[in-house]
Amino acid sequence: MKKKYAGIVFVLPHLLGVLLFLFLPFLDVVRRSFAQAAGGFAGLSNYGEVLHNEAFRLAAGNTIRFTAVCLPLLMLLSLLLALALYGIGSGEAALKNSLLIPMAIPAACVALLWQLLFDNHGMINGMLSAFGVAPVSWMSTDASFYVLVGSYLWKNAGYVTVLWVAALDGIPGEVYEAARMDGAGKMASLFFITLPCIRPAAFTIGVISFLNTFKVFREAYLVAGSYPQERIYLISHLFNNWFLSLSVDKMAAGAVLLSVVTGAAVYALQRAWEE
Amino acid sequence: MMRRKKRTAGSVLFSILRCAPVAAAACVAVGPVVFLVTGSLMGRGELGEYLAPVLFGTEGFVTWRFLPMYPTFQNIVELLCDSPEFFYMFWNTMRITAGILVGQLLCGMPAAWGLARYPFRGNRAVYGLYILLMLMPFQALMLPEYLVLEKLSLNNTLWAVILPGIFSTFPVFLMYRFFTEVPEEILEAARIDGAGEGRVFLYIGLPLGRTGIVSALLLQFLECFGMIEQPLAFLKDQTLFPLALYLPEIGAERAGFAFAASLVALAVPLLLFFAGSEYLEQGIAASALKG
Amino acid sequence: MNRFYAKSFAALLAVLLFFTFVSRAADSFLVTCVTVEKPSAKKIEHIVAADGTVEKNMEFPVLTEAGCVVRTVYVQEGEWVGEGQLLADVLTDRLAEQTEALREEIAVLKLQRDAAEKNARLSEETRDRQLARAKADYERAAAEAERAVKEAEEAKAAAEQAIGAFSAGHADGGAADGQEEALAGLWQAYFEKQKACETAARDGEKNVEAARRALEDAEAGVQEEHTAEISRISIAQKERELAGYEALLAADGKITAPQAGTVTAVYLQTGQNTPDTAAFAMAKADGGVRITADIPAADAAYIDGGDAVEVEKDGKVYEGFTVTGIAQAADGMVHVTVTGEAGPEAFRIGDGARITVRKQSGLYGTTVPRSAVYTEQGKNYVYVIEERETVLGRQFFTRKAEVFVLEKNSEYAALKEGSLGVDERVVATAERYIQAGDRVRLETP
Repeated sequence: MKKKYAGIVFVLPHLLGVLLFLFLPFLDVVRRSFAQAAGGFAGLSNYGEVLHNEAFRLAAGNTIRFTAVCLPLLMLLSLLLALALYGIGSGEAALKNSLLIPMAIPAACVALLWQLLFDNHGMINGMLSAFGVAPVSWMSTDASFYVLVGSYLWKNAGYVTVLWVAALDGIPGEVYEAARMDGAGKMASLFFITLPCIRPAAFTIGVISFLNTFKVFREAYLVAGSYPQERIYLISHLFNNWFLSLSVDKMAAGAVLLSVVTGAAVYALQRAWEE
Repeated sequence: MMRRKKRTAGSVLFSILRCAPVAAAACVAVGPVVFLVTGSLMGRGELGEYLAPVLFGTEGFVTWRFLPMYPTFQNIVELLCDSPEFFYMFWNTMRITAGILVGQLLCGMPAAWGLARYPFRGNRAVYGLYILLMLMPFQALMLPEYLVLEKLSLNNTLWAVILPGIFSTFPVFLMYRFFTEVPEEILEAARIDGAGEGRVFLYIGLPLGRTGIVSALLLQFLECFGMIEQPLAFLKDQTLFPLALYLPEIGAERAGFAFAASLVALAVPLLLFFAGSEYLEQGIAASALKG
Repeated sequence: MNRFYAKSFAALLAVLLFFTFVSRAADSFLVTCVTVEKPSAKKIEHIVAADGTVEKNMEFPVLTEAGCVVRTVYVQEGEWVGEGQLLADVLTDRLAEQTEALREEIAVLKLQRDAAEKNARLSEETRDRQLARAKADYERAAAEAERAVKEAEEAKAAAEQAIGAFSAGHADGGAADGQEEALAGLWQAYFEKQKACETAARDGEKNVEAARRALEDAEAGVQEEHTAEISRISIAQKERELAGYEALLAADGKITAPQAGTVTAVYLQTGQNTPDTAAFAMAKADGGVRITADIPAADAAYIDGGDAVEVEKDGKVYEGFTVTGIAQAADGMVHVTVTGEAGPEAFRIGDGARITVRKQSGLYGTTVPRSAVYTEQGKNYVYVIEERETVLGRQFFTRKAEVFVLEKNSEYAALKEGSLGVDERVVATAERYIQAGDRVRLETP
């Protein structure tokens, strides 16, 4: 029937492109992960090499730490904001718009600003010293981690808040009415109606936010370069440097590992969420 | 959901309590833009004075004044009239963006429709593949993509950035979610009326799914203006660089000019963003709800 | 909100598009257009040209008899005359008178001469006679003296002998009284004789001396008489003059040019006497052409003696000229003399002619257009084009490079080897003032 083929016809152009520019490279990556740089089978040696690689360990550790810190922080923070924002009445639209602004600002635009803020002589330190607090060397100590977290939160919080608001908006009013009628207080409504209803949204938001954690590489790279301070050396930095030095085998193994871990995590989460 | 406001003291306090963080968040969100605006209105001398600790390593900290002492349009003029390079980079970015958006409209949109409405064999597989590819960070696929582009002799041209961008799977994902919500009955009705699949897509699917389409395009537009990794990896010619790679090159000595340039660079996606923000909210919201 | 922002977005894009063109226009307006050239190997040619005048060359004087009165002068300075052409003439009657006077003078002189000669002869004869006499006297005196002396000597000897004889005759015996007296008398006689000898000798010397002195005086001479000689010489002179006058008279008083040439000076004036120096000065016809010109010292540096010169006159070009003189003149100019063989008909004295000297230097490996070289504070430099990759693509910038100029003319400048790379391009002309580091646009890329 025409309908059946129509589907394939619709999908085909894009699919072909995806295969060529994304899937094929992915397969190639998988292949290379089992091969030596010069060609020739290497079995799992690349994986072993990668897993024992100091830089990889550092980057992986940092990335995991970053994600583990940022994601919950972001989602919680923005949820609270969304709860505060939702139903605020007039000005809600304006507030939402202003919250969305950081998302729309290209990283390159604020790189200079970040430098001016977090420099040793930067504005943040200036404010700290005004309050009598000792200045922190942001970009060259472990404090850089918090700079990165702050940057991520600044960029994504507003956006996620708006998403939460939309999600909250999706809960039909009648449910609350019914609950109130049953004598539920505000807190009870919150915990037993609001939160469960936004669970599906939480999943999507989580995924989107997770994808965005990789984008924080942009700010980090623009402000601190290819080899930033230890704490903010992420997987993205590592892969970028491996690319520049053409460490093909390591990249391949690392990429496969990354994909596997990511895929597994998302899959597990999906399963868990849908329970 | 609307709550009726009770004018008790508690509720007023509550109102303040809830407004404060939101207002604070809004300020934090907008703060950098304010910096950029005020900074681009300051002349070199004034900026030099404020930024001296960073520029020249003098003692003290960077200070700022939110109302410039000696406002000037010097930076704007310099940007608009004396910097052909800026515009060169800007139109590079626009070309990349246009290329990707058009490509996504032509390829991605039908793909999303096809995936959403046609349970062909392998549909699930393709869907799964798309999700998988969506999750992978660019760095994982950077090298083999580079080699593929090399084979096609596309490296160091704008196509090296445009083509992989067209076939990014996230927009398809977004549009897919909206296309799935179109009631099948309407489509069936149209088919019964004799419409072919193409017409069904064009005249029913598109209008009904436009929220998703617009939001996908919007997000992609944003993404294009912010792209750094792909141009960095695939473009060698400085003449092909997009704005995102050009702006960081403007050093702190030309801070005023850098701010002005950044302002223009963010104004473009921002305006579009605001223009389509309702679509965006609806779009993401809907997909968020559905999970 | 939707519409408003959408419109703003479109408006912003339009504004950006507009300013894209504005900034490009401003940029190209500010960017100077230049022409460039690569250094090439060339010979530097120096052409020094000047307008000169034909001057007199190889002059010779035209002489004539002095003291004549000029009747008419037929030529002027600068005039070309052929051989035998009439230059001037003198009053013939006057001339005839002068000739006659001269003849008479000569006759007088001749008479004088004759008289003087005769006198001379006579005095000479007198002298000879006196001389002969003095000589005879001398000889006689000498002979006399000798004879006197001899006689005295003989007398002395006789006396001596007598003594001897007496002594001998009276040796044995006693001396008679009358013997002693006789002996004493003999001895006295002897002493007298001796004294007479001395006297004779003395006297003889004295006489001879006197005679010799007289002879010397006679020889010493008589006052020289040159009158005759003087007269003779004067006569010769006058006769020569006469010959000249006679010749002139025979030519009817006309002074003609001995050979073809140009009159360069006229020293005669109607009514005045002809001078005893030249009447005319003429430039030989076949003496070659001399042209002089003044050229600035800067150009003169390129001219050496012996350089070939091209002469242009009245549209025709003459070869074969060379530089024969270079001298400093006033105002930093240099006076150059050029000579050559050429038909004098074409080159009249005083005419103007254009001289051109072309000098080519050796082959220089690195030459650039003269307009490419700038001078500042005594140093020379050029602007070299540098290509740079910028975000706008390939752009050209200028870079100052110091160079050393070995030689230059108005078109090209030769630089020291190694001043510029062989592939480097220098700015030849610029439509505006440029500085180092400026961005430029190439005229013919």
